[in-house]
Amino acid sequence: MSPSSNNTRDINNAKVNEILEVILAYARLDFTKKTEVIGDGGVFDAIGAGVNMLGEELESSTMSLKEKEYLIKEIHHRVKNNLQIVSSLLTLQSENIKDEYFLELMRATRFRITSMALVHEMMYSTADLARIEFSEYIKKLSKTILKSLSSPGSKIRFKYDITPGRLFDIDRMIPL
Amino acid sequence: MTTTLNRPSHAKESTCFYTWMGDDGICRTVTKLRAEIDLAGAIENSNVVKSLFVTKKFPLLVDARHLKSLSKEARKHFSVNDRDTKITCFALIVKSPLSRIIGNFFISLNTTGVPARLFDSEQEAINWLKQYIQ
Repeated sequence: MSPSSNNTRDINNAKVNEILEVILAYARLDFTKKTEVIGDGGVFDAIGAGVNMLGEELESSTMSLKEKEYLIKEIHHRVKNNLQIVSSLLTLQSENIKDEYFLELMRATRFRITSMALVHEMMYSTADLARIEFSEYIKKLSKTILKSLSSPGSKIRFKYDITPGRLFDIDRMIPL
Repeated sequence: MTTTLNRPSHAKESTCFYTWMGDDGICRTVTKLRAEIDLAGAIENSNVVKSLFVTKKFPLLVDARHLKSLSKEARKHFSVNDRDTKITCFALIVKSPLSRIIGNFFISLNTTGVPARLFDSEQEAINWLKQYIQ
């Protein structure tokens, strides 16, 4: 093999490595890297330019995904706040009720709303916006109920027997 | 080196392009050698193209054979969406692998506000553009 073909092969290998490095950076969602396009109109330039443009498109898609994630969290946060307001209004309203049966009904409704608020709270505070861990939810819910119902000095303790790692989406979690 | 459109002396020069109106009612804009077009360059070009408007909108022939790069913002601008334009359509002439990649990427990923097509022959591009002369 002549020295010039060796040289060409080295240059081509270097360009392939450079393009590969940029592709791998994009795979890691690192969009700071770009391949160098020298403008000779050649094939390596063309591939490099294509990879660069692909990176630009991916970057903007990734950004809009992050924006959507933020918006979903914000919606869950607002729903939770609104549910808490409804729950507080029910508590206020209950103070004027004397009928024990109706009072119990109001309390049950309040707990149902609180548990729904808890689902939404967990939805925006977990990394996975679509599903939450069932055992975690039950533990939080039982603590919330205990806090609301137990008298000071209460010695009630919960014992949980739930298979960990069970994930449910919001549609399944709220009826539960 | 690929060929390019014959540029008349009255062609308007901007940072990345030479632009002029042809006698056939088709506007021509040619990218300079190794032009790197960003948003500012794209806006400058579309302003020059717009300045050639008299009474009727016209087709645009873009010679991108010497293009080196076209930024995402420039691609979006050239897609002629959500902005006033005086062109009825545009044809993009590409030749080298680099210009072909840029041209295809642009046409495939952007829904253009006016009809747009890629060509590797100037004559075929002109034939297609003629149907859009008003």
